[in-house]
Amino acid sequence: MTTPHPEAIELADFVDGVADDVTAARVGKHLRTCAICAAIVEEARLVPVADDEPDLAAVAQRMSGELLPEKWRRGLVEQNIADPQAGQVWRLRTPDPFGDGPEVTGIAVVVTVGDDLLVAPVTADPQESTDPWTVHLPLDGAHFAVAVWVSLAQPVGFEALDVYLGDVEQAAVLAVHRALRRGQQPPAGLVLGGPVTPELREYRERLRSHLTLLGELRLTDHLSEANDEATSVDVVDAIRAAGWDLRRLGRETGLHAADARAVMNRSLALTESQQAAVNSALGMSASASVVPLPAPAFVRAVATPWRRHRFEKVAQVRQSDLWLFRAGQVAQPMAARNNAGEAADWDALVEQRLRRLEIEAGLREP
Amino acid sequence: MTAPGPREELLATGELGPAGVKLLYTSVRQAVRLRRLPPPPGAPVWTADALMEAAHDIVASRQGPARFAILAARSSDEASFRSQLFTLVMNDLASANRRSARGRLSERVKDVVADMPDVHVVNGKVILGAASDAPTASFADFVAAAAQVLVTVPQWDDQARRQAPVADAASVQALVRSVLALAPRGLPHRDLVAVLAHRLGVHDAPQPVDQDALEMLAPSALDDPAQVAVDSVRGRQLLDQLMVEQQMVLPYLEESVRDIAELTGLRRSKAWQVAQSTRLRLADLLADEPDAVQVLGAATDLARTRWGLG
Repeated sequence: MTTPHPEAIELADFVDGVADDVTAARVGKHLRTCAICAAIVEEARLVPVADDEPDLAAVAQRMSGELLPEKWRRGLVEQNIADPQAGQVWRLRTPDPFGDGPEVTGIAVVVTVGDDLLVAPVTADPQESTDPWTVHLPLDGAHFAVAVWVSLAQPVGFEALDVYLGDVEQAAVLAVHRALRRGQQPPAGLVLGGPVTPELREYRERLRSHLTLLGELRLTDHLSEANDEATSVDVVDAIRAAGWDLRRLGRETGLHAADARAVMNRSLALTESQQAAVNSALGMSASASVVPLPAPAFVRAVATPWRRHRFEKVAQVRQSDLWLFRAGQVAQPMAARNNAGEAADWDALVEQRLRRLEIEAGLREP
Repeated sequence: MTAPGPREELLATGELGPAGVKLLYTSVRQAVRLRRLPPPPGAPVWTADALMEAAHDIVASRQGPARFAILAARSSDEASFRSQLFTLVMNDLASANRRSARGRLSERVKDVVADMPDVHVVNGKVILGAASDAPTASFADFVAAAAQVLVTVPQWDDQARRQAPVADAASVQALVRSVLALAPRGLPHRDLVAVLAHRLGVHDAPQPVDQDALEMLAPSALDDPAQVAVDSVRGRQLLDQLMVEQQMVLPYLEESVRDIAELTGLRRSKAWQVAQSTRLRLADLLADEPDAVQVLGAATDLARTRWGLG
């Protein structure tokens, strides 16, 4: 079986002899089976490069000067949050959707806010390296501009929002997005990129697919896993195994034939009382066949960036996976007296649960 | 007490601290070695001074602050910061290596124009004073106007590590004004650079787009074996327009992500990204190809041979 190619930095450390033991062993093993990487390492060792270090203090002197604007820096240190709005620059962060890589992070500008967020990736590329729909805008409080790739805007969930970093001119982003959507010319008076060359197209596709990764994983993706963990026997499988026909199912649950058929086809879920009736008649505990989606306002109350870092701190104390712990909150149904299903109700319920979790974790006084 | 890491220093002060400078220098040295980059002109090897200069250029470039801001934000710990800084350095050095004299001129013009209060950039065009609808002159007229400007080349130590500028700042400003005076509606930056390049004898084109780290895995291009079959030739042309990693996934585009990852040695997320971009690229390249299926088949066969794939 092919072992994955090492990262470039791992190869570089291996060449320098500074890789840690585990990495060195893994790279060494890979080199025995990969002629390409072996050739890279062999050739790298032949490049004449000075190994002595210069006077780094003098180098530091030449490189002194502010690189990070104050707002950006404080935003990262203090993990700033805001109510998402168009024109805001955010760090996005999700686990690797395929589960075999490091966290996926990206910087993006919010273009529109709806059920999802439409966001456009942000880079530091100069004007000549961007496309005609990339608007170059100064970041508030910074002495440099960032490139907002409006043509690559894609939806991501609120759960991907991590840190609010600053703002660019909202009107400019919206104007470019509107013109693009309507098939018009880019608006005048803005600093935009140039024509798309084959090389740029390649680079742009990489940016696009990277952003897609950030919108790929949602907290609700784990509902069925949570459900499977709770119980292991599917109710429809159990009914079939018991040899029930539609009439018997109807008799036990009070369902009409059409609805009973829909249940057996897994297009309709049993209510809690129907499920209980079936379990009672079967003498076992079976799980719902169709996993009902939780209320969107409930999901939003869990996914909001205002609670992300708090949930993650609780997860850290419990030594749980940061993402799966938050996803687990979405999978746990909530109910309370006077809950009319309004966003404010869900918000209050989730806040209550989070406070309880924080108290249990020792992060908050009772 | 543990000394702060490079990322921690950067977030604490907004500047590169001692650990950051050391990491940057080390990254440059490692990148030079791994990508086998040639030493600066006139130097037989990469000396410590040359490495230091290259590290300094990365920080001091026009995009330096923005790149470090995004680097700090995209990384979540010291390890990811180091990894991303290394990628940044490797891309930057490779790009600088390929960047031509004309690329440098383009950067220079931007810096000079930024200090000219009477010159503005509006909607991607460089304009002298207020814009008007008066007709714009031809390229030949621009060149003729620029030819009237006396250019001063500053004295330069031929032992200096940095290359001599093609003209001093005052000369570049005078050239810009002479050209823009004939373009009341303004000129795109690249057109302005084209005129100045003609006047100053700087001719080649820049290639400022980032490279992917995996490009370094590419062997030297195979010689054209003068294929007889037209499809085979077109297949090769198609293949050569794909990046290395795209070539590697080409035979497996119909497979699952898990299989692609296993067959190519890429991580699954990377395999998915590459497969996606390859499909889009192929759709674009084969849009006007009458024998798309045959050409794609030939390209796939070549990819298997080239990369020893099953």
